[in-house]
Amino acid sequence: MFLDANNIPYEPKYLDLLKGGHKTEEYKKISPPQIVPAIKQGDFKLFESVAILQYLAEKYSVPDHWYPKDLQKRARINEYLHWHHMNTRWKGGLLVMLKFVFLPHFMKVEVSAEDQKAAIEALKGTLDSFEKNFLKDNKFIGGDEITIADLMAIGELIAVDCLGIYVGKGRPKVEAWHNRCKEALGSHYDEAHKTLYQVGATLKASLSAPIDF
Amino acid sequence: MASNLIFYYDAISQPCRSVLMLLNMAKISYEGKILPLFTGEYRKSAELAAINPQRYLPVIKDSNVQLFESDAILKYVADQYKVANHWYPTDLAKRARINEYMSWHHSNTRQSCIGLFRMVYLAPKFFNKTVDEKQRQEALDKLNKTADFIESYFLKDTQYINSDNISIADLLAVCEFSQLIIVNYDVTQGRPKTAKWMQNIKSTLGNVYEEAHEIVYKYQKEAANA
Repeated sequence: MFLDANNIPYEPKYLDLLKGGHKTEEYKKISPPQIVPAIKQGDFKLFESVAILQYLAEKYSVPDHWYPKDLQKRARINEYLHWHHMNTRWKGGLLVMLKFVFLPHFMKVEVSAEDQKAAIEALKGTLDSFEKNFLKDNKFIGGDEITIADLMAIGELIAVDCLGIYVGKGRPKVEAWHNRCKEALGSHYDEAHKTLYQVGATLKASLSAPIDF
Repeated sequence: MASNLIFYYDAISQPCRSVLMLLNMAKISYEGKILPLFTGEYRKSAELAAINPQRYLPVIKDSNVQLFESDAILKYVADQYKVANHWYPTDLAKRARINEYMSWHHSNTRQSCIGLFRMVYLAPKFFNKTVDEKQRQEALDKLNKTADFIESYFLKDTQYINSDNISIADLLAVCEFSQLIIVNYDVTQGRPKTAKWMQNIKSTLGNVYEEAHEIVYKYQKEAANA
């Protein structure tokens, strides 16, 4: 979304994760931990989405609001970008995906109903903190304009929508923020989420029961 | 350099030590407020709750800036106080390399080290939990995988993490590993590059490292005598 919204030219290389496209020796040379996303520019290679966004924002001199040069504003964005991993991901979107889809259906590891319920509760707790710590009364995370922090949050929180969990349900602040992000990103949002909803239909079908959220 | 910086911390916390060491190495003046974690006293601090509603350390207040998340604090301090460039290089490609580690750190070094530490030390000490051997082995496997990757990738061709000079990435990583001496686990065993890296860090940081780790040595001794 960031690349497209800023008209940064790039050659996309699609990797089919569900078919282990990231496990090839060829990809290992670009991303040694074999995680996505990664970028390559000549000899320069980089993994970790946060690091990539921080790098691109500076390299391509994109509009300042994405990753402000003002240190105080930037610190707010960095605060979210780092909180994101252990909260929005590991106590949020990723945890839910893990407990409801990846473990039971792809890795054939049994997950108790208790564990699954705990994942949903963790997500709810994270959404509470997200509203209180970061959205507050702002239009976007930490301010009035969209930033790379919002892109990271959208990525993780909206992923679970394909499982029938809409994080804006009963949370008008989150819903309003989501709508503002969609508006700010326009067709780039839709393009980026096309695959999610296509693949998502399969993931949702693999659930043993609708998720109570 | 004069500042209005207030730093809330407890040196027993790994990310707190990282920030503490940067502040001291860069000789940034600050007012330190210790909020003890093990006694639970930190939860009573209204100042902490005002900066971080989830009440975890470290946090800073610098004039009208309030921040939590050690990574964000390290980056802010490095840029705001114009510390020596190697801590957080301004060259884009070099900075990207540091950011790469600092982002990877959370789900890997941090998660695996705190996971093991919580299981074998904090949970038994504070909640009387017994250690499940299978889970302990899984936690150890995850930690070993993480340490192996640091040895083979982040320290592959450089003296420090993704760099020939010490940076805030190293401060984050070393504090997670140094915590494990309390539970008698040494990640440098069988990892020569990691061993050399830790030696380099201790040598570069000198007294700053030793003073920051006084509390760790105290708990290590206590655990050994238990």
